[in-house]
Amino acid sequence: FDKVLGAAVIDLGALQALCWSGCPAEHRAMTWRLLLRYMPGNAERREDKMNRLRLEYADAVVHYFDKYDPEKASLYDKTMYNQIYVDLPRTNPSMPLFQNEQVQQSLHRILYVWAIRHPGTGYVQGINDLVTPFFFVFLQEVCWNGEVMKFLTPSQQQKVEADCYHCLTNMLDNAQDNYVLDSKGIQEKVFKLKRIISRLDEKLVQHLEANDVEFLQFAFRWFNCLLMREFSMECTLRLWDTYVADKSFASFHVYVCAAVLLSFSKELKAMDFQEIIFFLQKMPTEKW
Amino acid sequence: MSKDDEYDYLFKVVLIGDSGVGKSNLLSRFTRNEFNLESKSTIGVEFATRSIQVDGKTIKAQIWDTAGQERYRAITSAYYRGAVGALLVYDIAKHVTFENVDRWLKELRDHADHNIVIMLVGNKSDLRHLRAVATDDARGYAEQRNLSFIETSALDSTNVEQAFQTILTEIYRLVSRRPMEAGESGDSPSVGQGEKVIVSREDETKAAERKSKCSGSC
Repeated sequence: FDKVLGAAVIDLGALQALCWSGCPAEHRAMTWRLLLRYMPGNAERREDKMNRLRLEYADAVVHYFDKYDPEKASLYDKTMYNQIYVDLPRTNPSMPLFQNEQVQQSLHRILYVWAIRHPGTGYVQGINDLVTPFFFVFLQEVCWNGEVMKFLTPSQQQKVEADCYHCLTNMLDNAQDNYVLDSKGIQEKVFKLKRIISRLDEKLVQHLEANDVEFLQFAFRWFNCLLMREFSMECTLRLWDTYVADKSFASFHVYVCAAVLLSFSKELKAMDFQEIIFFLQKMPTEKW
Repeated sequence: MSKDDEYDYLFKVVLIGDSGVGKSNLLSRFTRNEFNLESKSTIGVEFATRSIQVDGKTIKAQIWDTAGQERYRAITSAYYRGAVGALLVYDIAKHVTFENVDRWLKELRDHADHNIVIMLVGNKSDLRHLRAVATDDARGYAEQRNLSFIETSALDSTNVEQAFQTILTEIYRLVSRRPMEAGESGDSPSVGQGEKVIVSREDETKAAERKSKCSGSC
């Protein structure tokens, strides 16, 4: 990583290959920015482009968020603003970082600007989860210890926010159909998951069907939140090393879900409807 | 088979209502006596069960908790099918969640069985100082539409048990008037019996009459 990242013009292909197998924490922020095509590989152009994009985000915040007025806002804007607000305290609540008021304000701005800029999908519950790995990584880069927000200067916070916004945008551009109105992308992927399991473990599918368990009942969330509800932050970051390195991660994610499900095949086959649903709702994957 | 699985009736009930009104915590309070301050938003649907006794019969409630965000309705409304009861929850401290009750009722009309028993639940009654929906307004609204009504607090447990007891008892009363259909299947109860014991459409009219009489007098 040191060598690849130190080059004047970074070989993104080589970086991709490295990152796919996991990125060291100290290189993660830069690597993710590069692989999500937010930061240019060419060191000479880097600063200009980053400044421009960060400024653009800051402008959008002023224009959309700071000027938000519930009296004048359109129904769409209001719905988005309020839905995000309702979800902030429920975003990664087990991590104290995300209970911090300043952090929640940052997330509110990022998600609201994202929602306004993506009227095709709008803010969808669960996207609040997806912004947290970026926030965690970019914040870590600025400051490694716990009491982060106290020491963060306003300009540092703006940078972290802008980076989160752009990386979230670029990442979700490859998974947009998950968040369209009828969740078409998710429905298709759940269907594909079932097909894959049928091929690899027909008995499991038969067992689930015999017990009236539908894939959509348990797998919808796996796709909507990219398994973030099932995994710890640490595990998510590792998984995302692979995802940011792969433009078609959304399709690859189906295979990851298949692997997760198959790893519990034996247990599941011994369970009835209720036990299966309970098990899959709260899988013992937190320590993975 | 675990003890939990011995029951006389299995009723499928759905929890619906706006995002953040406390559906998931109502469910966890009822099924596990837990309230989670660190709860996350529900994505898609989640499921829990609990059995209660009514007239010496064991009634198992199979409760589906749904995501509140409007855009998830296409996904969640699929779970209304076969449900014999619905708890329609709003937040007494957020008036807009009460205003949206109309839309939720329409959702039920469009996607649920006609004879589904609906209970309007004003949750977060512990937030007295923030109350935005008067109890009388909500009760009047419910009476007009023949819905049962209760105010609850999942946080301090007030009326949670009662809410579920009431709706399950009401469903049981409707269903047990049809001894033929409920008693006929002598085989061990299976998932889906809830669907088998649904009162028929013919009974629905009678049920509606009974219901209106009841809510008028009590």
